Amino acid sequence: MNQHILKSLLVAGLSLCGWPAGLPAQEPYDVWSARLVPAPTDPDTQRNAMNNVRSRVTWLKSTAQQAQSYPNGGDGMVRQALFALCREYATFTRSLTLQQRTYGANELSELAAGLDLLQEAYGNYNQDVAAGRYPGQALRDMCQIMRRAADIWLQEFIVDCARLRVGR
Amino acid sequence: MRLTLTAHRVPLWPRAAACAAAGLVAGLAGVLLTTGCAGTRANRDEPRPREGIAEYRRVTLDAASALRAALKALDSVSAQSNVCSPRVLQAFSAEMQRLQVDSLSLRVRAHAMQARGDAYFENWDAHVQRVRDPGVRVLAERRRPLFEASFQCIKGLTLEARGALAPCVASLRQLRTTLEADPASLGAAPAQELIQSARQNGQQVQRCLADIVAELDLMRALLPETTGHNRST
Repeated sequence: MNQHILKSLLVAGLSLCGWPAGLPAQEPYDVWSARLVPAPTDPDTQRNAMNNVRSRVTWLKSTAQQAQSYPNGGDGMVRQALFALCREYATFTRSLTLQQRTYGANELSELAAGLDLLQEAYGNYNQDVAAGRYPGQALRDMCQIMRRAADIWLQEFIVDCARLRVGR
Repeated sequence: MRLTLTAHRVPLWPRAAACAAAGLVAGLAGVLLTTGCAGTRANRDEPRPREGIAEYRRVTLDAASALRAALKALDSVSAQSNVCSPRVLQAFSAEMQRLQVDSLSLRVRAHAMQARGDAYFENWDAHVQRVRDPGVRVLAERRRPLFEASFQCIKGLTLEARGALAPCVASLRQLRTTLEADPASLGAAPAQELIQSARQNGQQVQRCLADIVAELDLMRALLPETTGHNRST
């Protein structure tokens, strides 16, 4: 219980420091890196993990759509949704079997790179604002790019899950 | 630097890299020969191979098309007299957005190639091991030097394209910010330098993408003969 509280405080603290902006999509999010119990890799777990990722992408797109109307806090909304997607993706990769991870290593690397590039779009927004661009316009552009890029990423994710026979 | 199609025909790679690239090559040959027949040759419970060449060609052409449109929009901005009109600037911004989105698939592959190094190509070796037809494996082995050289070239071109695309997009973004703040700054030196930089880097990316497509077409042209030989056996 104490560990759970400490973990939550650590995550909250890191979030306030803007840590999600640099979240490496290829590393498991879980800050307690040593797992004493292997993650389940049965088809039901994989299907749930896959559906959770898809839900997070939908949430990211929806958030990006709404965030355009909030020039003073919209970027934070998008950042949180992106952070949640990265975390869910890390959970998904842990649900894969060794064979799937080995055979699909290239695909998984590409998906992780895609999440990195989504974060890059967020970083570009910060750079544009710092360079003097009108924040509202920069936010609108970032949100539009984020929505379209998330769509492409999701298409790749679905195709790769089918190739790797995730959840079957 | 533009790479010619004939400069890489001699396989001069170290053995480990040759094997890794051969795995990719053989894997792709196996993938294309088994496309549509995966169910009869592969265990249905095992992951299925991907259609490497066609997919890579598609993402490359998508990126090339978006870049072409962005550079055309840049030309429209550059052609303005002293003040960039809002309509032209808006169109320019829209094409920039499209470029950043439509180049995503190519950029993720470049990222993965660089992150995984030789392991990216070794992964394909696992694919060809799953091809049960011995004839396919023999043919892939026979064509290995040619495919191997092509894929090493494609990797180099992809990384070169990504390296030029980043500063191209950065220049475009800076130019947009400058013109949005002051449309009359178009004729000033900073804006002109950004236009020149974006154009130069963009043209380098275009050359790389064209070479990538040419190499992919070359590989694809090698396959019908391979497939036909397979049928004859």
